[in-house]
Amino acid sequence: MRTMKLIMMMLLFACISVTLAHAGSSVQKGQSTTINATVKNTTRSSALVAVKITGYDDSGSVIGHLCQNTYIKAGRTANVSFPWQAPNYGTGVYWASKVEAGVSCPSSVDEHDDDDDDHHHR
Amino acid sequence: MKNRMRLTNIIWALVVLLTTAGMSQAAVITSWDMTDVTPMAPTNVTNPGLIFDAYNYIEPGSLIDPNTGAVATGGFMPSGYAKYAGGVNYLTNGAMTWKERDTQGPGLSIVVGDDITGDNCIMSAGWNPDSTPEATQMSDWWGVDLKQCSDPFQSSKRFKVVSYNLDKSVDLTFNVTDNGSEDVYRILQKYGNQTGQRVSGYTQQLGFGSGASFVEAAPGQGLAYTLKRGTKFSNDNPTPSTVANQGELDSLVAHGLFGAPDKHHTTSGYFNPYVRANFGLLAGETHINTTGMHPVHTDLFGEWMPSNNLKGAIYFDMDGIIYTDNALMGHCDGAFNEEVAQTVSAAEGCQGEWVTYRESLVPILNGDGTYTIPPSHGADPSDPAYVRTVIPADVVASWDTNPLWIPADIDDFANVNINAYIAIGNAGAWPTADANGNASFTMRITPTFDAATATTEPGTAAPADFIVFIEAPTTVLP
Repeated sequence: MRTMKLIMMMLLFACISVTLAHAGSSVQKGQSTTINATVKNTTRSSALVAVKITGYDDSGSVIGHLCQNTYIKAGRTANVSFPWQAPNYGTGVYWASKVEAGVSCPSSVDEHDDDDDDHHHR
Repeated sequence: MKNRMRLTNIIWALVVLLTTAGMSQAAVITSWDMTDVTPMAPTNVTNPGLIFDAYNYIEPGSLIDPNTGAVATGGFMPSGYAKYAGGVNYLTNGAMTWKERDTQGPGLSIVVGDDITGDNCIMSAGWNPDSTPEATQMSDWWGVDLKQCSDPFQSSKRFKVVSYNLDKSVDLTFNVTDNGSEDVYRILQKYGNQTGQRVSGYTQQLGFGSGASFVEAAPGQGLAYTLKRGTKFSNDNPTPSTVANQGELDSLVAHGLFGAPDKHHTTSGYFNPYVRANFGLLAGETHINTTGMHPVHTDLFGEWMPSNNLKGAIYFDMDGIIYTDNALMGHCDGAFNEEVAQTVSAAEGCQGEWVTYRESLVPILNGDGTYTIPPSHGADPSDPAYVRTVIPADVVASWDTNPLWIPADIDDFANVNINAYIAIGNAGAWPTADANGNASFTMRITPTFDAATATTEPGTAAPADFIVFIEAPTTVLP
């Protein structure tokens, strides 16, 4: 029963975060959340790609370095998700993306957060 | 007991007074060396018909027209003559520029011992426009207090240097008198890209001499970039701007374009309402290098734009005074020609669509006569159509006959605000020193373009093979 309640709450949170993300969503310091990306392949070839998402704070510091491999058919769309933990300071966040075909994510890539709080002096 | 407290207070007041007096005497920068400066020709030479408007204060009696003998009176020069008419002093490879209003020639001043804080700074020259808040008309704001480091936010405190040539240096040389102490100066600077080309970064250096004879100072020689309290940076282990407090080591794009509301800004940036665009910096003791423009800018527009190839916008003049900041309401999504937009029509001036990221184009008039500007959702580089509203043609046409709506270049794209501090000491031992302890040093700035790392403005190269739409938080709450 408790597990069910937890799942329901997680589902509810996921829906809210997706809805709010469009209008500019916010998270608490140190909060874990999910980053969702939709990737459309506009070429005429199917491709195995590395989807790289980088989060930057106000000062330009990297606060999220995410990478995931996915296969996208020509003209089709793929969805990828990444776990991410917010840094321990308040900031605006800008997300940049890069999709590289024929490249795999390095196994050493930190798929979580970079919560180096040296940056929160501002 | 009461008398003892009063005595204590008096002693403390004397201590503060003596400390302040000591600070004000501890100045070492005496003047801006204008030997290599070429002033723009006076107004009545280049444009005899021009009479300055009500926003150009000239201290009565301070200026005599050399051609007519007219004397400045009542805050104005009846003949239209002004010593620094055009707001430009030409430097090698660049210029010192200003709008000849509350900021005045020669464009830069050195404040030693601010009249409130006692701080030192290098800033714009002119009058504090906010010194008489009870004034009812703008012309009354001028001529009361010389600009000081501690003047209010957004009172035109920054001197503005522009570069005309990529990879060529602009030098500002300052005369110094050695007083045996080491003093910290705040640098209140605006830097403009007028190179005609994209710029991916710049370097700042402290040194001696100018032009081909410039030599960067050696660490420990008495010229240093510092934090506010005088902590010197290291050339061997440079400090990134990301770890400094805002205002101590920055290179910021105007908040009106990018950034969340903060203590100084009640509204958010038009193109991104969450993140401020800036150049990252790495500061050493005698030089500062940029580490790249923030992706919030480059993902939308590529590298730093030059002033002759800017994006166009429609501005709403909230107070009816064109010289004060106006609200950016929408922009031209295509090539923009300011002259055509202002003299023919806004529609003709935009070779593309007029669009807005704001929730509405209608400013809300408040009871006190001010306006509330509808918020902007900003651009999403991965989804250009998102919250992008095309402005109807009849609305665009209405701007041509309404003076409160002004199509214009987004000048702020070509400027960054530089915040830095420098420490000056040991001037008597500098290579420029004379026997009396008089010396000089130079602040140099050089714009650069690194083709290997530079980004290209989206849409100007081939279409993207992959389009990514990200759903993610845009704010981490403090």
